[in-house]
Amino acid sequence: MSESLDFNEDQRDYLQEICNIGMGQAGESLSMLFEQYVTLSVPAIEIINAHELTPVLRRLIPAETISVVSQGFYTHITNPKFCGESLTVFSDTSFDNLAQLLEFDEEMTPEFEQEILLEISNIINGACLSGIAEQLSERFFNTPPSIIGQSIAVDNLLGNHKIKWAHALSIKIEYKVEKYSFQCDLLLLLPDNSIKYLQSILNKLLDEF
Amino acid sequence: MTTQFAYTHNIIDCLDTGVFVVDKHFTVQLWNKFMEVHSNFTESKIIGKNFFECFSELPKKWFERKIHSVFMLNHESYTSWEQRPYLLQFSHGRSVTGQLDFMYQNCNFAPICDQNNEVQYVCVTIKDMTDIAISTMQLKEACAELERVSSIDGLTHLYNRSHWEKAFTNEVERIERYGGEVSLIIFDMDYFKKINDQNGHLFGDQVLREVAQRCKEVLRSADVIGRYGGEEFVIFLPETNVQEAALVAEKLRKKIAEFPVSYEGVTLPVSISAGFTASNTDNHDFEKLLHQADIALYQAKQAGRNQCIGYTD
Repeated sequence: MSESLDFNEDQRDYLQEICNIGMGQAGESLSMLFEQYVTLSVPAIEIINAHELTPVLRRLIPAETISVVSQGFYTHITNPKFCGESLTVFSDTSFDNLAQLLEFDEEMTPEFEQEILLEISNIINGACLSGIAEQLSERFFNTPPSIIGQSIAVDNLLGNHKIKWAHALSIKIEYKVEKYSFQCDLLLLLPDNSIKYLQSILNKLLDEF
Repeated sequence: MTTQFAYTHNIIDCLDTGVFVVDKHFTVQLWNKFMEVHSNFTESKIIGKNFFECFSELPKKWFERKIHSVFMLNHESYTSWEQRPYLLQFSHGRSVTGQLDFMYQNCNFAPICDQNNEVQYVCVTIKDMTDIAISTMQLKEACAELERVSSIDGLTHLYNRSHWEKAFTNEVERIERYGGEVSLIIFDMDYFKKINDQNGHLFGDQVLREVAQRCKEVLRSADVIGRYGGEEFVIFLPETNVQEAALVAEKLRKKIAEFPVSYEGVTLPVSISAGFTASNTDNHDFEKLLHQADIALYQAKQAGRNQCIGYTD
């Protein structure tokens, strides 16, 4: 593992703090949007090695089958390019509950189920990323959400694709809406270069602090 | 802030993308050329009007929620043609060859903020995805056809061996998990080699086609039949015990022996020999069931053919 990717204690604490505040804001805006109390876990931050990815994912997502929506995010103009991918993971999905949460009242079809997954992911992502971006004094742009697997095993999440990065920063947040027994996990993943950029922002913020 | 380029509005009109803007009350604030061309509204006719009053076909509640989330979260929202083919019913460029009612669309709903970062408007863009939708749908159809072809035996149009084995394995696994029973029949044409040698392969092929057809007439919709090898056929019967399987096997035997097969002036009687078995509590093994039915089939052949025998320990 290259040393530059290790966070020192100050950086780690500060990142945790930023994520906590960001999530607090995200929880507030989601609760307002859904008119329901939304609970978010404390973000769990760790660095993942590409070669341990599958066991780590299995530990982070302890479910037999999952549906996953991916959405890319990036900053405007930075060097190195800051970009990442967020995965919204649904492990036990009652589409009727989700439709109620969104106040969608259309007839349930496979396409409508997909639309619900995409919509919820996009909303959760939007709230979450803007919470973190604000703390970092950055603005994130998004790609549209896309479904990368429906009712698949965790092991099949990445398919047979070759992984193009060595390390990734993972921030995991759990979401719960008690009333609709709704639950999902958000994994924010940042590959190598973006970790370095994040560290440079953290250092800048720490200096100002 | 860069100086305002004087022709921004002209550029919005040049886009091959629909662009329009609404405020919190769904009053239309901007309407580009693409929207004019594809809707029945000119810019001057729609600006200041309520969007829903102009497009009554729109799912109102859904659209309100969508716009509401953009206002609240200051975050883009999207729709894709794959889940929701279109937002507005526009005609498309493949009106002759396309076989689609309306233009398929990807839409983006983006917040427009004032200086205080408060969302004031939502800008909706509509991208024409009709061509991609048509080719994706053709690709899906081709994949489904390939899957069908790869599971079918070309001569008899029954399942081929590998597909039948997969289906039978799944059935055995299902029983292991959830309980239940399954029966298995294997049958073989009697004296098929002789039929082939004396009357030619084309006659033999006709016999196999005819037998497959007669089987389909006898079997129930849940029974799964496949061509296992040259003149050998296999059937598994879900939720069927060994006594019921015996009845089905006998019905098949009778049906096939009832009439001779005729082809290009030659008429020959045909018959089958069949072996059958069923799962029991300590026998859910795919291989074992096939082996048992095979032994019973061999006994039926030995006993003089044109008969059905059940496997006994």
